[in-house]
Amino acid sequence: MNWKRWVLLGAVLLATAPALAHKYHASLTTVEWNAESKALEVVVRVFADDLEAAITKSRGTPFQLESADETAVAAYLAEHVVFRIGDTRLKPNWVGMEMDVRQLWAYIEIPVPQGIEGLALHHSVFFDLFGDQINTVNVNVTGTVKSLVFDRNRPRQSLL
Amino acid sequence: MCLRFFCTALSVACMLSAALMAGGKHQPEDKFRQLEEILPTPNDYRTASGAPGHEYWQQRADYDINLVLDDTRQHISGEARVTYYNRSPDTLRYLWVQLDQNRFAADSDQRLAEPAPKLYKSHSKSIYLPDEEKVQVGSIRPYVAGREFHGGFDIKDVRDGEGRPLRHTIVKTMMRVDLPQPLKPGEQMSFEVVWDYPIVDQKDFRTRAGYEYFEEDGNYLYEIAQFFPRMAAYTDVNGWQHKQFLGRGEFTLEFGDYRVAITVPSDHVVAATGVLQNADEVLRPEWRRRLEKARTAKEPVMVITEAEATANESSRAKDTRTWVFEAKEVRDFAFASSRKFIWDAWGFKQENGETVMAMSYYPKEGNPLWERYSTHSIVHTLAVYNRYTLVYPYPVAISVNGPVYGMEYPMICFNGPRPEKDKTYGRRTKYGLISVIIHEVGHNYFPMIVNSDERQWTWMDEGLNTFVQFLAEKEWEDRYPSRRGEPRDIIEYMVSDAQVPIMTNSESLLQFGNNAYAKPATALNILRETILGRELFDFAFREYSRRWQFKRPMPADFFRTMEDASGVDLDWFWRGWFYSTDHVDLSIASVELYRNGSREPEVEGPLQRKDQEEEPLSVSEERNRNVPKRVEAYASLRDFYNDHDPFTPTPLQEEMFRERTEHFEPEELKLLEADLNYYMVTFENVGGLVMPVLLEITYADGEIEEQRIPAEIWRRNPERVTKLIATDREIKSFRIDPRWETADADVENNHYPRKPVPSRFRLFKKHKRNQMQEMQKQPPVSSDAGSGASDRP
Repeated sequence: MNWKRWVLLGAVLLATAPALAHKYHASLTTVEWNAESKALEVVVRVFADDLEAAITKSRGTPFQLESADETAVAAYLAEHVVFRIGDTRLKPNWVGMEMDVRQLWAYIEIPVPQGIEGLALHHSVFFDLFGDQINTVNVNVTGTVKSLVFDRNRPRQSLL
Repeated sequence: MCLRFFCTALSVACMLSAALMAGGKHQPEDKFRQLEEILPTPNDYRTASGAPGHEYWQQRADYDINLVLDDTRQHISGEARVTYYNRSPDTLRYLWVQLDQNRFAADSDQRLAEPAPKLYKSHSKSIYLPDEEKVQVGSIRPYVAGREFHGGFDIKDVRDGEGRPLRHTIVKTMMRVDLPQPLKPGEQMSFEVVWDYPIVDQKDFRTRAGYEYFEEDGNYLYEIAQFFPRMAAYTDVNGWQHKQFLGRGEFTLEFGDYRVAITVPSDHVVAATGVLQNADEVLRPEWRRRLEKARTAKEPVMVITEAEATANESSRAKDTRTWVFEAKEVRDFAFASSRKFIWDAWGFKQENGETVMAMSYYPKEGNPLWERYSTHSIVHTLAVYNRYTLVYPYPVAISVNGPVYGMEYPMICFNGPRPEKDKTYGRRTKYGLISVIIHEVGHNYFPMIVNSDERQWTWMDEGLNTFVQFLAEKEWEDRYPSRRGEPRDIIEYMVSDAQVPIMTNSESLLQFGNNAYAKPATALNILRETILGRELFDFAFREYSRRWQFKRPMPADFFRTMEDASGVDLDWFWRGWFYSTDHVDLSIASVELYRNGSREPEVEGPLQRKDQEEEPLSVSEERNRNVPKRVEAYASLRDFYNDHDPFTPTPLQEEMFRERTEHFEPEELKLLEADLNYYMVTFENVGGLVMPVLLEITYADGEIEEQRIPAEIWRRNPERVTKLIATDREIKSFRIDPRWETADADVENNHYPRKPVPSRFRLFKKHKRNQMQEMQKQPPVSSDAGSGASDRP
């Protein structure tokens, strides 16, 4: 990869450039606690073209969702949506994904047999791509929805 | 759910209103309170009906610009003569001019006011650490690039019409020009500016204009905008709109006529706002012939073919040529220039008889997508928007492919999507391209013609335009994959608590895209489909467009016009959707069944007995059943009351009934005789946003009926309200919003009795497990297995 291409892929300027007039960078994640199975049920909804760009960037070769299997998506999300209790990183189980022309829904299950006290989330989806990426996380562990906003200044937050 | 209660139909109605009036002094918030206290007071400039007032005024600025594009240095130099017309009732001592390029200067507010990105400390030299927390290259890059690129206008001269220097003060992206004599109402004055600036690399800075360099053939493609000092708007609402350009809140501009002469290398092709004045000097004869043919053609005509454009890529002209464009009644001007342009055109004859030239300019890298979809998308946009808003008033509509993903200017817009290098393209790219062209061409209507203040209110152009874009997409093909507009797609955003109301200044918006694009577009879609209906909505929306074309509307003008023209009080709707962050979640809290009691002792006695018999015996009574009782041992203790059946009517009761019914009017007796079920259905507003209750009733006989209860049902109590449904049939179940029209967040509580609705996660997991089980059930495929299916259990 020559430098020009690298710049093309990596060029993200928050300080000097705004969000483009008609493109905005956001994702929505839903986290629900299933007390019966003692697992977090997570749905991550992203724009499909953003995900393609992000995986293309991290691999260095063009990546297209339509002709790829799910492992690349699972790997990218495993790296960028990380649940922790204290210092322990919780292991995610990939359930699967769905997509339409614009969007992709990824389903991830995280068993937490010990319970969720001290649960924290690191959510850095597309921070490596866009300076203005905003990831909203709707957390429902008690029956009411609480929303958290993750951006580059707040990539890691407590969920409880 | 079932409860029998003895009362008359008349008293059921009384109880209902009593329940509604219950509650002490502390009433819940009135969600139907009129907006008068929030909206600005109507005046001679803007009426209470939402129309421009009889004293409405706006300023005007004409521009005569000479420009040179230097292809060797990627540099613009220009001089402009600006004629400013003071049509306000005020005397002006100075003028404010916008210098948008200055946001690339080192001292711009946009750079200075940007909070630092998060940087992670690393023990490794590699950029990407194995852990998920890594140093982010993108976050450092602006600081590196900012050191290298010194952008911004170099203002060389500002003079008045007679050539005398004018005192001017540059305040970052704004410039104040002091006038030697105050400019009185009705007067006009001219001044001249000379300037230059370096063009930014669009891909580095992700801007609304800039250049793209093509390594393969060594050519540049320029998309140029905000390239000249533009008059700031002076309005009856804000005075001078000179809020700094921070990058997000777009532009606030005045209308005027433009003459722009653009000097470029002689082998460049230029596309611009307006009409080309010297085609015979800059276009080859065959291009002019094809262009003429395109005016009346049945499909797009190639003006410059791909072969001609590709041949031109290796040209390197040393001389220049000047392209002259004129545009009338526009609020801005933009252009594109390159050796690489393929050009196609197609005349669109409008209902008013005028022909608009729809034209696309794109490099070969845009094909095969662009030759197939761009010009068609432009014409489709004009056809649909003309129907819903106003008839396109300009002679051309252009779509250019270049580095900018999507940006609008009068008559011309820049659109980015391209196929892969091998000329294949995915569905996403295809629909991305059609959608962005519809969106950007659609911006001609909002804000280029209906000239809202973008710096202040992003939703007024983006929200309205995204809404009409949705209508246009739906007329492209069935089940068009629209990104925004469907109520069900906005729910996750609406329930999140990290948001601000739509009525928030552009620069302060959180979740920009959802706030200013998706939510207003969805709100208008719901207003059209569910609340006003298409006929009323479309009339009102067209009236807003008609009233405010070539004028400057404010939010109140939109809100008021939509009410004024539809005849429907919508203050509750604006309050909920535009001024609050509530979401929609209506719930059926309870259903109670009431029957019509006759009070006739002959009828009621047996019914009461049956009721009592149906009650279970108490445990004590049950266990004492065989315990000997005193009254059985001593018969003398029994009297009248031991033997009388309390449910047998006494003569006194019958006399009382006769007396009572004598007082009833015949109509009341008729009501009493009607054998109806009265269902008291109690709705709860969990989300806070008041909305119509779209109630689906399923009867025991299987018939389904829908009642559309207007939002006004919440007007006295926006939290909890009961509706009485009288029917001679038995109802099996109730459901709210069966067609998902209102963006109701929790579907489960829409059912009565409750029906568990699995979460998206559980639905998917279940579906996937089923699929796997299905797959495992398949018999092994063997070549001779002719009856494999019959072996399955």
